[in-house]
Amino acid sequence: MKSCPNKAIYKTDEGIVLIDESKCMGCQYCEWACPYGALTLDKDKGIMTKCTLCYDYLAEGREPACVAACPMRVLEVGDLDELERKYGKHDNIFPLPPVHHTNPSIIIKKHPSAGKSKGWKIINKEEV
Amino acid sequence: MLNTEWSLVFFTTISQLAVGIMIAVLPFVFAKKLNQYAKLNQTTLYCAAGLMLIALILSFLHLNNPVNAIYALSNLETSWLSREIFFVSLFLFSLVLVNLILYFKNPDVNYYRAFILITTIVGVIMVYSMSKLYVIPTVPPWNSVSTIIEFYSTALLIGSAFVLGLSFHYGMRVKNEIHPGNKNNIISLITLIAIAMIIINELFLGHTATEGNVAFEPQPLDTSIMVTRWLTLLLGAISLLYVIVKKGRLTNMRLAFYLPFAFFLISELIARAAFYASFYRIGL
Repeated sequence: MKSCPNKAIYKTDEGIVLIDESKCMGCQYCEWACPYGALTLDKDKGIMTKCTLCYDYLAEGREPACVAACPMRVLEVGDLDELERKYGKHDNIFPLPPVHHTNPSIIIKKHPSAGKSKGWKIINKEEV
Repeated sequence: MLNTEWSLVFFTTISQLAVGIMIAVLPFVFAKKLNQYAKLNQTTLYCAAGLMLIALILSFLHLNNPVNAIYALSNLETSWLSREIFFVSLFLFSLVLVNLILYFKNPDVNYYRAFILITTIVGVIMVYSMSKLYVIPTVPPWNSVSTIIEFYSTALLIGSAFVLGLSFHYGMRVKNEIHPGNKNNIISLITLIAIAMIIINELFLGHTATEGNVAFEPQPLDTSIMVTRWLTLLLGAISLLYVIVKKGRLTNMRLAFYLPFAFFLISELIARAAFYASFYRIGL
């Protein structure tokens, strides 16, 4: 949000970060600045896109599509304080960026292998 | 061969060339016998304005939706990219204005110098904003003072080499020497300082300020690319010394005066392409 020269990236009252398509010029600077790789270029439209957390579904009281579709039921969406009470704070997890840098609004229960940040490599790039 | 952002490679290098030209022409602008250098100064100003115009057009090639570029100055308070766009526009505007004033009017010498000095300062600030936008904590290879020094050294190196070629080109032959010798010495010194900056920067200042997980390791650059970069820099330095020593005897082959500039330009374009190709991000 701070990097975007056009102020095309904004946060809703619910804390969802969205892109104003009418302002984005497709410079891709946000793609460099985002350590989650959340922003990608829509080549057809010439603008950046990202997950919207299915804000329209949420407004209707429905779950985001990914939460509803997950066969293992590992995804949950809700108020961050409530989720933190339930699952604890987000920790530094490889290969995600350091918590002190991003202060993320996400909680992931750490897999035992995810703590070994040094020397680990991702080989299945297409799946990440 | 190189997976890089070519439009940005040319945009940044050409705009920095324009700033370097403005810096290197200052000794001639502030010279006592200003009339003697009028043609040189005028040509330099035309070149700087033309180069910035080309750079601006190239910058648009990078945009996927240039129509919305009208909003690009919306975030001057936090976005270095917004600030860069502001100063690029201001520098170009200032260059065009100075050229128009000098073309249609003959201002007082103090105003003349002030216009050019202010334009040059705007250009120097433009290079700073241009470099700062790459110094971001998510990109380790760019997040260091090295990026800022690299952009300034490019400006000084190719800008001074270009003005040196131009001054030899327009210089008068006096007893096997090209006039004015003392100004050319200053410009040559700027070129040598820039070469020293590049070497020191490469050897000592590349330490990143970023620490963090990296999901995707970067592909190492092909060694031949950096060998070519350093070889062309060396050839530029050798040809610079040759031109300085032999300048009086080269008046019949004036293209030779631009040889150092040509080598330095190629070298800096390769370095800039390598800069963009070195991109990788922390996290995902």
